Amino acid sequence: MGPAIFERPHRGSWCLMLIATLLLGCGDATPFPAERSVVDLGGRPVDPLASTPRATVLVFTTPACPIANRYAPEITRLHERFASDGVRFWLVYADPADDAAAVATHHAAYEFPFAAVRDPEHVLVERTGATVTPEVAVFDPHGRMLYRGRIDDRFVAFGRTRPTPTKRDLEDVLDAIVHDRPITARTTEAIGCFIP
Amino acid sequence: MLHPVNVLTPIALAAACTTTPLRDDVTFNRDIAPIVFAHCAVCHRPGESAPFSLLTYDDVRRRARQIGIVTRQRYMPPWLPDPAVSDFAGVRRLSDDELDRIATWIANGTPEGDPADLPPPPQWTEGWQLGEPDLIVTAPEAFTVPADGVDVFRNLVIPLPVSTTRFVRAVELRPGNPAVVHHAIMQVDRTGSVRRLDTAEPGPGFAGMGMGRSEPPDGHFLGWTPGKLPRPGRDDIAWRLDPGTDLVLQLHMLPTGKPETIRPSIGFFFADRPPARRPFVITLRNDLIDIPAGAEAHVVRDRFTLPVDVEVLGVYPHAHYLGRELKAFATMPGGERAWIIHIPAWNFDWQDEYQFARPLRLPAGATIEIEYTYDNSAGNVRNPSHPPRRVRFGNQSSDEMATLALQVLTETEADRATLAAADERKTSTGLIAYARRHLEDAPDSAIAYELIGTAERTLGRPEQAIAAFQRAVELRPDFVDALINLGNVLGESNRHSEAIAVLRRALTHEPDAPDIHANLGVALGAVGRPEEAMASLRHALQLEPNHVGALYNLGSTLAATGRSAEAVAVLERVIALQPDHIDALNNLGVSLAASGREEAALQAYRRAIEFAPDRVVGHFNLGNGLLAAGNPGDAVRSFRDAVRVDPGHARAHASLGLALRQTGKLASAIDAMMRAAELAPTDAVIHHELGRTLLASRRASEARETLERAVERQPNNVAMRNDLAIAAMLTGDLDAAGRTLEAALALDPDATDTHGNLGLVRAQQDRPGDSITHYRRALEREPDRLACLRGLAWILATSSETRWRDPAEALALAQRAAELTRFGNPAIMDTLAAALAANGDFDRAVQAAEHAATIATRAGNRPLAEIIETRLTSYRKGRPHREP
Repeated sequence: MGPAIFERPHRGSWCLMLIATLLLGCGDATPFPAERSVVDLGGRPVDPLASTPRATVLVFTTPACPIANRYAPEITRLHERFASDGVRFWLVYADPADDAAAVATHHAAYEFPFAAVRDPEHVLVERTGATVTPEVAVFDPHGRMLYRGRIDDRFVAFGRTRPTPTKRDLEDVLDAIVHDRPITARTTEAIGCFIP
Repeated sequence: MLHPVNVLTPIALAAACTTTPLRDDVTFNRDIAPIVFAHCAVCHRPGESAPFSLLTYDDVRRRARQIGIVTRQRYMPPWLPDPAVSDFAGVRRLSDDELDRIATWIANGTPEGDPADLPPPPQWTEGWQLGEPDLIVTAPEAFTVPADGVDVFRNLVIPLPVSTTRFVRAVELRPGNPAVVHHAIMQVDRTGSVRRLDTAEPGPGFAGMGMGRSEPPDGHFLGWTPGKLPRPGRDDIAWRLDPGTDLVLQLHMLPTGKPETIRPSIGFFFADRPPARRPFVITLRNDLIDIPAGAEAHVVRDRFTLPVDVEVLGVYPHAHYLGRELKAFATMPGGERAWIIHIPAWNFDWQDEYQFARPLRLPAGATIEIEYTYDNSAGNVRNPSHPPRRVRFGNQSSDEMATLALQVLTETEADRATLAAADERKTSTGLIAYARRHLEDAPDSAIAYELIGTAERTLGRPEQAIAAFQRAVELRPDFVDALINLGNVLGESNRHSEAIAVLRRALTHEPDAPDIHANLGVALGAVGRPEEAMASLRHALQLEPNHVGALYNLGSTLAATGRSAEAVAVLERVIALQPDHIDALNNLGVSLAASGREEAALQAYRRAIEFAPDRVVGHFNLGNGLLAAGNPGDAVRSFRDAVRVDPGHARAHASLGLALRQTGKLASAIDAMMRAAELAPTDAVIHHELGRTLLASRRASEARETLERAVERQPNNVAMRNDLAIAAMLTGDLDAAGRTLEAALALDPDATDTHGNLGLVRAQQDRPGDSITHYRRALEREPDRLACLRGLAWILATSSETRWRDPAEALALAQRAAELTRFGNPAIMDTLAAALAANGDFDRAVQAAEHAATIATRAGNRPLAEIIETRLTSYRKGRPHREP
């Protein structure tokens, strides 16, 4: 049995997704080796993209990243705003060095109101092309990645921070999705801690 | 044999040096670990402020990409000053060579290298870095930083529980939660201002970048930045910590994404002696900042010319989020310019205080200047306002500041005072300008008027200060700070009744403020209401038992109202709290002396002198104590010290005169007293003593003139009139003497001195009847008064009129006087001889007269001896003496 991620119900859209990621220029078109897996906090394999009501947001994070941590309240706020519109949030712990216990502690400490997965083998990292934390990737129900990049423009560079963001990229994308406005897939550069 | 040419050839050697950092076999163990251990691990280790550890090869390899970027951007390790222009201690900046090594190592795939090359890992002291502190204080309550939002500035107020004055060598802050704290500064407050701010706001401490009226203690910066090890400090410049001082700790914190609690502890390390020198903090600041919206390079300046030579120890530049480039330099008297600090790319988040590796010497006349550039455009991502708005001076993070604090040492304490006065003038003048401009926009700003009042008071213009404070409380009747300051400046201007009214008004708003009760007590004391004063002071002490000011004033009021024993007890408490409280030591001495503990009093004065050898009061009191203890010789030395430190102190000159008179140096005594009289032309007591000393020197007419001035000033003083009468008598003006004494008698009809002197004057005026009356009145009150015994005996023995003569009584009186003086006073023996002769006992009369002549001669009183010789001739012939 292969990992759950291959048993996706939207096989038909696989090609489209590949095109999308190729357009983004960051995708990894090669099939995942069988032994790699994404696991939930109990260690069970899980595919966050297996079922997407309206959109799925992957939020890449690492417990040791202060920039990612500072976004916990903002992510929580966005979850509160969009969860009832069928937007599903997943926290993706991307540092293989963080074991299940460390991740569970962090998840509880920041009171994230949605589920988390560990991506020790960088399955999702490679699929999305995420390089830092915090970085988000938004998928549609067909598994197409519509957006990957920063949450907002609060962090301009290391040590250069706006007091408040002037552009809320993630919120704008989700807003368009839930209001059925057409969107073009795009990426932005996220500022944060490189995923080890 | 190994490549001798390479080693010996200078060119090859030079090439080897420059290529070392660029070689491509860079390894972690040999090249990278030393950099990481020295520059990163101080924060990047468990329990410290950085988010992850950098202690092993694996730690560093995994984050190599990040490390490469943040070091290349010089975001890490954080260090703002340009290293090319100033030489600071503890530089954290990486050299270009080190950056190259890191870049090469990453480019080469982060090789680990030979384990033998790995330096030993750095060792850290756990807990307090400077050892076990002498005093540890912890914030009374934990503060919670919210999960989200902008930077948080919180000021925690922590009373410092010292029971006596201490001197602080070093301070170490343990934030308790280093991940949250970005930066912290500490100041001290002895005015209660931060306590009031704390009380006024819910939760621990108070918000904002303002720190009330607190100050850096005795010119010390107390700062904390992540990774900066506390400095061990220096005993010789330790700062003074008095009981009743509050510490205010300003924490600049960043939300972390979850609520964080923080409860910092602070350790104090004491010096074992008072400091030899005190640093001073010079502040350059421009509060008239006005940056137009959109300005990309707005320049703000300020300057200060040094009145004395200084050594700059440290520097603390400060601006907020619009700051772009900060420059500070000094222009020498000769025109040459020297950098103090240059921060090419200011970042508020990494503000710090920098200590020079070697103190920077700046001469008197050098002008220190700041030139700060601000970016208020939308292009400045840190701009708190979008779109940009006009920005002016203020404490909020959306306002701006332009400040440069310089920690300096002066050569002498006098230089420090000169510098402090110049700095205060500059600061106060700046404050007034700022407040006046603020009033243009907000004419009813009570705070602006309060600022003006405070500044005017500092500038020594109490009238202007009073007017400004009055306006402030008109605008805001419940403005307690303004009421307190108004009360205090009224008190300083001797307008105590108004001060009392104002302070009572302040109490209606803050009935439990110990300072207000204490100040009210002082004002009540000043208007001669000691009982109410003490009630107020005791009220203050109920609220704050160790309030030094209240204790001192209570003790002094007790002393002034004659309750010496209670005064001693209270003043001893002041000394226990603050051993070098000079005024308390002096008043303690006075109270001890009044309680009959002269030796302890002298000790108190000596301690006061030890702490403040340049203050006249200790020397003056010690001299008086010594004089009272019958030691005029040492008293002379003390009074000489007193007039040396304060040549204008009239009473000290006068007391010097008294002490000299007691050591028999009449001429020097008169010189000292004349100086005193010149300095205090209206001081009756000084003129009286001068007159007495002139009398003792037989300079009767000068004495008379001087004493006349004393009597003019104090017409009701009986003793002065008596001395004036003696002077008049000695100048031969018996009528004037008689009139003066009659006037004295009108003031006090029973005074022994006056009756005795009148007896003498009347006798000389040939009015024996009146003379006898006065002598008898004097002897009724003082039967052993020698001059009266003698004077009366003489008339009764020698009067030419029979009706006044009474030889038996004369003999009894003379005999009594002679016994009292042990037959050793020539004038009394002369009188005894006359009385014996009047009784017909010529043999014993001759005997007594011969003895009188001998002792008169021996005492050098030739004229008296000669007179006695002529009377002796009569006695030998069996004839008594008769006045003509």
